[in-house]
Amino acid sequence: MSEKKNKVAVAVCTGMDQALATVARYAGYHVLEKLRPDTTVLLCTPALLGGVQEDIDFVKNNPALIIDGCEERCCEKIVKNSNGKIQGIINVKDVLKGHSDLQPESRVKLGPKGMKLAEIVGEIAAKRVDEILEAGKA
Amino acid sequence: MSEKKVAIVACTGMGKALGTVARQVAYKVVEELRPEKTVLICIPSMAANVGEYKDQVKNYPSIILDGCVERCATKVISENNGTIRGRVFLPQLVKKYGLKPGPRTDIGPEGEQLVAKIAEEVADQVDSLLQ
Repeated sequence: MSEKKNKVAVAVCTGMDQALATVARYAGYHVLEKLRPDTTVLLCTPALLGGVQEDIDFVKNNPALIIDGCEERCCEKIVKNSNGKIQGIINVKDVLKGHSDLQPESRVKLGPKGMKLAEIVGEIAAKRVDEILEAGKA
Repeated sequence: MSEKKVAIVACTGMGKALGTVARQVAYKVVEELRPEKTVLICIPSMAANVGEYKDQVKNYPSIILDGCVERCATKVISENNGTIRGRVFLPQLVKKYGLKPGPRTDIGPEGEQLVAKIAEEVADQVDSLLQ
């Protein structure tokens, strides 16, 4: 299966508490749907926890890129516990430090600034996807 | 944790629009409709042993919002010895109300209407559980 070799599993925190988790969520969609639809698969963290086979296979067969929302790094911990091959970690909180004018409105609604932040995180993630796949060819 | 509350658990799944709907329903109940009577459970944090979520699902009755047939939120809460007292299966309510949400990134006006209707049902369940 070529999919196993040529795609990166993008895992986002899917947290409920903080707006930065919502940013991570939209960043994941931005990578998957717009920036790298052909070279990524979207890992659903709750599904992985719920034992859904598709997501277990994503973790087993693909290098993983984590997009965590905050310093708790829940998504990273969950993918690690599932023996995922983590090859990249992006933390929205770190990205926000360089874009302090892009504070999201709330966890329910990001607003234009929060959506812009999600796009920036998505762009960083897309570059990391390319790097992971390039390194895999070596 | 002496005061009685209800734990609201949304699947927060990434794959389907109903994961987004479940998430929005949970926020509406916890922030707008029953803020004094509910706590919001964060599944990834609970799984990563962050916060008090494991204690909350053990000590409070839970209402689960599952977005699809996999019922991941129900499974995760069961595995964490949660006290499930209400289960909302969103695909059923899509049929009941005849409202179809847009895509997972933007559930659109019908999705918003669906969120409002389901949130009212969940709020009623909260009241019943606390009576």
